[in-house]
Amino acid sequence: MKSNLIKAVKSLAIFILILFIADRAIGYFIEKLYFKQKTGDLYQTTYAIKQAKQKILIFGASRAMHQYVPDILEQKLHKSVYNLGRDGRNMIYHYTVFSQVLTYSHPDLIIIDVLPNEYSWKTRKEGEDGMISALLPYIDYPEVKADIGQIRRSDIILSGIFKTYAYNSNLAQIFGYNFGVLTASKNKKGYEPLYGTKLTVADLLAPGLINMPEMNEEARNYFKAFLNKAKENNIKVCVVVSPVLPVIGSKNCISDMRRITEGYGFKFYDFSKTGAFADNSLYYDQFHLNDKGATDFTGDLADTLLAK
Amino acid sequence: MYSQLALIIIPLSIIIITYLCGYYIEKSAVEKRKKYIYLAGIIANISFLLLLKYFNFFSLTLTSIFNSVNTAFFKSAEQTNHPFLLNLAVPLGISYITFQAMGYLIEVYRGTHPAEKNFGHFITYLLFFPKIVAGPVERAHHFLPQIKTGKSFDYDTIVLGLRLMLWGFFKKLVIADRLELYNSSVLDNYSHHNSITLAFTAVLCAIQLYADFSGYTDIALGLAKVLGFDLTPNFNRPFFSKSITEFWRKWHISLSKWFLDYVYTGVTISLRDWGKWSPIFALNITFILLGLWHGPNWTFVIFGMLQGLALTLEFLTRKSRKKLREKLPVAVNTLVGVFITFGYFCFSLIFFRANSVKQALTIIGKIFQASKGSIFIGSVSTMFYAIIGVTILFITEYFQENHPKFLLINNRHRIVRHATYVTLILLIILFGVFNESQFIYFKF
Repeated sequence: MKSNLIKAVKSLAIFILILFIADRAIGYFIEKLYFKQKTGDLYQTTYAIKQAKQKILIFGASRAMHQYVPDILEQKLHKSVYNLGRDGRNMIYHYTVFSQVLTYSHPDLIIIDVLPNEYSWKTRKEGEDGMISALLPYIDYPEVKADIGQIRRSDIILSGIFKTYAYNSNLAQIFGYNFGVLTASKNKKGYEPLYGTKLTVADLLAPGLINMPEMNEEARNYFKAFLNKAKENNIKVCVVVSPVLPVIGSKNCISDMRRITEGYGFKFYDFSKTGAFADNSLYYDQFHLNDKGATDFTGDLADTLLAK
Repeated sequence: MYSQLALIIIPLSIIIITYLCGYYIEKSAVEKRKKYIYLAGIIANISFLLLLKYFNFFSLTLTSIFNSVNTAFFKSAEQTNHPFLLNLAVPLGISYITFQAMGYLIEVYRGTHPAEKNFGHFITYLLFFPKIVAGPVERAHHFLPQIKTGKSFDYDTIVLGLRLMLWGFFKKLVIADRLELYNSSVLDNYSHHNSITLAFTAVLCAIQLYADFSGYTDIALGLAKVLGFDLTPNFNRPFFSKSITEFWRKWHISLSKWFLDYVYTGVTISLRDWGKWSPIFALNITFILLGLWHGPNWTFVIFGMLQGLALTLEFLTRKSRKKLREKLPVAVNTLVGVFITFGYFCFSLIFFRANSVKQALTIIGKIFQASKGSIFIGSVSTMFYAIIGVTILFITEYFQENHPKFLLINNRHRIVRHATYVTLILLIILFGVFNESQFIYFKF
């Protein structure tokens, strides 16, 4: 019994030591590769966390990333602009990135693109997991650590134990962009244009987000927290629902977001009902404008901002 | 509050009733009384299960039939009846508890296992925590004697248990949960996807279910081993089966063996006058019940029926298939058999996974429509990690099946073993999905 116990303790100690060394070695190697990236989705997050010092910053998910053309806004508004929108991100990500940006910069204006169903996270998978995974590599930044800790403390603990955990689910992209297997689409100050259209008749007939539930209180709270942070820091915010084919949306969600935004004294623009964007040829798919649509829309948005 | 109490009281009632019935079956000298007590115990268990899990299903079905008849024959569509539904809290693992309890009573009644006198041991048998929510369906004669033997710290057994757990976590976190991201993204919008994507998803759903359930089983078996108990293995590389008959000897073994011993055998014997139709009838009844065991939904009934149908065909064609096999090379036999079996299981699983028969039929319709278009990949990285996990799983199982002497996790050299542990842990950390998702079989 006693010899059994000694054997177990010895084996366990050796095993933990090997695991620790392997994890740290692989972790440092991946970390180096991660921050060596010069293009791609992960690089854009690094840019947002470290160096987005432009005067106008655009936040949002794919509909921000593919629909707001910084060059047009710069020409018309005469201020530097960067598009921080990223595919599949939600308000948790925007809030954390915004908090981090505020540690080194003070933009004049934030444009945040919201979905007509912004509050509709169906599951935690949509709401939290992807966002935490995107932010974990920046766990050493206090703002990021604090925000992740509020959502899921276990992630802080796990990334403390395992150096590799911060890069969970990111390895394919890290290697892909470092070794030329993946190439980023043409990126213009964060804006990634989509060309042509892949709309089908079925897309035009089938409702998109319509099956999603109406409200998720957590999503709503993050939206309020984002606006509140801007208010506390004296930064103007303009909340935009960008154009979308006329099949999706939740009136309740849009009107609630408008109410909250205006409650903070910020502007709310709903382009989802604008007739000018009813032309199918301006859309890449149901939810995204193509480059031509994005150019028209950004021009309209800039004019609207100038007029107000 | 009441529903929370019910979650404790119901399993406890099942345990007490089963314990007392077992005790009095053995004690009773009169055969007739023995039988009545036995039947009372079985009926009590089935009643709990029916009431908690199936009452609403039957109520909805009967009301729907009644309303249809009413409309068709009496033209009184305006007098639609509403089903009487119960809103009861269902304790976790109720199907497993009742099936083990019934198995115990059958064994005691048949005299193949003595009634357990120690209530503490009996409650441990039914509520042993590694197996409580999703099995295996443990037999009394296998588990109860283990409680009575003394337990001491055994290094080798603990290591064996931990290895099993590690492999189980790999299957669950790296494969099953990763595949779920893809599968749910397709199935949540199945009307938008083409044939090839839906067919591919059907295959991935089968792999996901296997990785999820066998992953859970490995964790349960490993944990039990660490505590000094051996549970019944539930899987034996089922995707290498060459027929559906072989498949059901390797998939959810403890449950299919339970049905084989206590339902199939009983029905076959009682209908032995029917000749060859006796086993066919028994097979179909057994698999319909096995399907229904998963939950109160017609999708599960059809899933069971499809298994019964395949087994019937295999039973009826066994001689002609044997002749055909003799004419073909072994490799061709194996490949064709594995391919057909796996394909058929994936197909039947569409009903298992679908929320309704209508949804399943729509998906099947879309698959056979052969609509054009390329396969939907979704997130490239999700697919990439899933492929890595699935490849590791199948290569491992291939070696276990065909080259059992090739060992990694159980290798006698410490360096190889430790390297395998570390690799598996780092793969879990790097590729695992940590969204605290439940095991699929928890809901059954």
